[in-house]
Amino acid sequence: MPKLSRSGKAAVIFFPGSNCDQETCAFLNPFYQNVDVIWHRDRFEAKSYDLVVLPGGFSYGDYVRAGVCAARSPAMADVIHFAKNGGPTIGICNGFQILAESGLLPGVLIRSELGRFDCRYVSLKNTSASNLKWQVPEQVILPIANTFGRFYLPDDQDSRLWNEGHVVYTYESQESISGIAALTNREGNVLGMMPHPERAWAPHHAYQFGSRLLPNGSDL
Amino acid sequence: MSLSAPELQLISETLGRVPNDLEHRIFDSLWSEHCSYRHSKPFLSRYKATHRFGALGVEANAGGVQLSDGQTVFFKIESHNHPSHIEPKEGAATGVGGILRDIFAMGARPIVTGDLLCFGLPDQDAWMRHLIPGVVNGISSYGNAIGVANAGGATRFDARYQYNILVNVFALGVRSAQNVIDAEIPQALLKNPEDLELHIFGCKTGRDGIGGASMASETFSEASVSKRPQVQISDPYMGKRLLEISLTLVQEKLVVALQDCGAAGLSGAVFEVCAQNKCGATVALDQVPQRVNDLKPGEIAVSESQERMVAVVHKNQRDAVASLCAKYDVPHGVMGCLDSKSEIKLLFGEKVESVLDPQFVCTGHQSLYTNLSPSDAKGFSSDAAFKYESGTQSLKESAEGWSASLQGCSREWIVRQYDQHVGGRAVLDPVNHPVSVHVATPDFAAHSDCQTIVGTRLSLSPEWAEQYPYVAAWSLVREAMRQLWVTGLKPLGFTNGLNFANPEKKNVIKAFDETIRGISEAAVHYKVPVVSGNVSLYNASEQNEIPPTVAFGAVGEGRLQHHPQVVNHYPDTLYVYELASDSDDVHQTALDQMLKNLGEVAPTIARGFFSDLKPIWQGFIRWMNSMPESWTGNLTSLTRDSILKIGQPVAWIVTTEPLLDLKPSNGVTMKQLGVLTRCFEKQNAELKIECTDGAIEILDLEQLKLTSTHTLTERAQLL
Repeated sequence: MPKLSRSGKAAVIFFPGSNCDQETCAFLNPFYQNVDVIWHRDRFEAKSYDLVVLPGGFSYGDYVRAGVCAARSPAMADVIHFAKNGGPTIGICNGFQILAESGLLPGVLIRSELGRFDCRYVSLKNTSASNLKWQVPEQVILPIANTFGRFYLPDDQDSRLWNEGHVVYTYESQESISGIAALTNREGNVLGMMPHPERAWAPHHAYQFGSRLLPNGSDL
Repeated sequence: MSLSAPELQLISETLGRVPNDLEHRIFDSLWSEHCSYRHSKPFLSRYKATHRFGALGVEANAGGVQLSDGQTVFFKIESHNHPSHIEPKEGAATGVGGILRDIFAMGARPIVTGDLLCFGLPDQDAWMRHLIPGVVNGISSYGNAIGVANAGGATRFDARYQYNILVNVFALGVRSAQNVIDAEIPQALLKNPEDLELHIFGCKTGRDGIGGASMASETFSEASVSKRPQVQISDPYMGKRLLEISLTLVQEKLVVALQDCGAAGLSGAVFEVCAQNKCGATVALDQVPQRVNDLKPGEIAVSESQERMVAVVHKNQRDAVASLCAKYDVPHGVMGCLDSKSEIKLLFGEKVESVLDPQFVCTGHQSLYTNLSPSDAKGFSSDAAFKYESGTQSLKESAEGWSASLQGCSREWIVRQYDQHVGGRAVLDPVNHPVSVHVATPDFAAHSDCQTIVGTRLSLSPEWAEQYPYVAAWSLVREAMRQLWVTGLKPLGFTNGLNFANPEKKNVIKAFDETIRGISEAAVHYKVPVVSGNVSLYNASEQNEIPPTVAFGAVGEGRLQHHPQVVNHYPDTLYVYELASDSDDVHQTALDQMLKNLGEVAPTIARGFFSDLKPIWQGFIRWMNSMPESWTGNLTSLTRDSILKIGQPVAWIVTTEPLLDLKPSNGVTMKQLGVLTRCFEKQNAELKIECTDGAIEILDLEQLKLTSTHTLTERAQLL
């Protein structure tokens, strides 16, 4: 993500069941001087970081509901504090589910329309969220890989998200998948997304859109 | 329990008494076919002839080959047929878990798995309709969760698997030159064996999977469903932590040897480590972390509870190992230590439960099975009667029939449930490429321009292997070589899963021998080693037996910058060529040479189609059906015979640029058949074909694709 100068520090929180640690660290390495993997049970000095990442996976085996247990991990207390003070925080896939379950983002991620795990590339449409403290490219193709990827919020609250411009990406019309793919909070510093930018940036990946996703103020 | 009378007699004579419960369970597990390879070992010795071409670690958990960047790549195929037929989800999931532990026991980080599945016909019975989604769900729930990318594989549907499905799992991992570990202990450390402790870490031991190895060594009967408790239960979240702990232990040199607790559980791991290192041990079974508190010593010794590893640890590192396990919340126990005696003393509390010689436990039964030996037949002649299938239909009928058949239809419903991208190393989407390609360089940072890639070709024996096992085995190797070459990869090594019926039957053991001979002779011909493998016998039921089935894996390497990136996104025009060798020799060496030359200019090659296992036409139609975009095209001068038959010295290649200057090598002629053009109106997606006999046919490609997509879900009633 940000800063090709390789300065700054990024923290990747590792929960039991996280499984995107490899590609998430590889994705951040070219941009940050330090990429620290934080074990979920360890408290950490969040304010010394420039970015906090909640990676994808199946934290706690999706027990109760995807993200529920992880949202209550000791390290999450520091993440929540960091995010509420404006720190750039991104949750990808299971990370998005954890953000929703921890209250940093509204709503919940439920079983997708297809009803089974689904791995494919999807086209996303940027809905130009206001306040967003991230640079996000316009038209994007990214991979998804999840079972519980359908964002849900009761209608009245859902329309408020749209009205207030918190929706970052929606899925381009596809047979089995629709609705919100990425979402930000009111302040615009917390970003949750189901698609995987960390699997679409390197020369060998089918697409490289992920490398253009940056927190504001990053100097490329 | 399945020990035979002569086996029991040998055990009693050697021990000088009747074995107790604990001993009985240990022998039953370790002398089962699944663990001891008692019927197959003499035949597998044929593969030794291939090892000189660069095989590493052939006696270890998984075999490997060296990459040109100094890393070692380890890979293996394992079968989980019997448990999957009884409990599909857990059977398949624990198959994935087991093979991954074999890879990381070598200190290698697993980066790819794949699956070779054989099912019966789903429209015939409800149990098969239960098994298909169950197996796929097991593979996806375990593999996706532990975070190793799935490279697809192959799936076959055939009535001969109606009562005995096959689930073979492939895994591949990469290890850097610094991280050397083996089940073999360095001699210097063995001088003071009492300093070396036996640790166990991972899931607590329970009653699941007791007797699993001996169950997998019997044929099926009505009573088999009662064996459900012998199927183990998987826990990928523990698996992921075990993986990270194991790799950290190896990297920080905290362990001396590492062994997966697989078939025969704890006793399998401990007895094998001692037999291999010619040492003894004292093992306190009560020190093993247990899930329930009333386990008998014999149950602890052979339980196949999943997600456990046994490590040999120097006593100075004991605390470091314990605290690493504690950090990850992984149960850990110190069971005892090695010694220089030639016996393993098993304790439970104060009581000595048994004293056994590890050499006798691991190899003692071999004296009972000396009468089995491979036949001496040599050369390509034994299947001389092999007749190529000839198609009589029109190409259109053939394409329609194939797209609507279970054999030829799209596998997308299966493959889309597997995470192909986790780990971030996948280069090619396995849904529409026969070779899956992954970056092997440990740090695949953005701007590194000399990355090593590994490619895997996974395939299954053709349907005609029962009649012609030798030719089928040879063809399997040749097809894999060709696929790797045209993908721009240098073939490095093979692995194989050999699935056969009851080996006590003459025709079965003959086919087994012929198959191994076919693979090993082809491997010697191509100078590529067979580094690892698995044998699963007794795949039969009261109703029928499976045909000889090889799950084959071929691994090659290349460089990312030389690789056809473009195949992820085809240009708007593709060119189709036919290569034909004028000599009809069985080795088809001239054609091989030509394909190898072409592979060296690989950036222009999108796909290759060969007639080694199935007709070129079927492969081509399957590929057209798998492409996400719509295409229209024109192919002329097709020779019906050469593309509808099997084993023809003919190949098709599809390129992204016209091949202008390429000179065919000696004995091969090349002609352009036509072009394919991307089209944006689906209704225009048609292929016009002209045959040399004057017939002109038009295929509706969109209709074929639709048929292909829906066949599996409709016939298997999948949701």
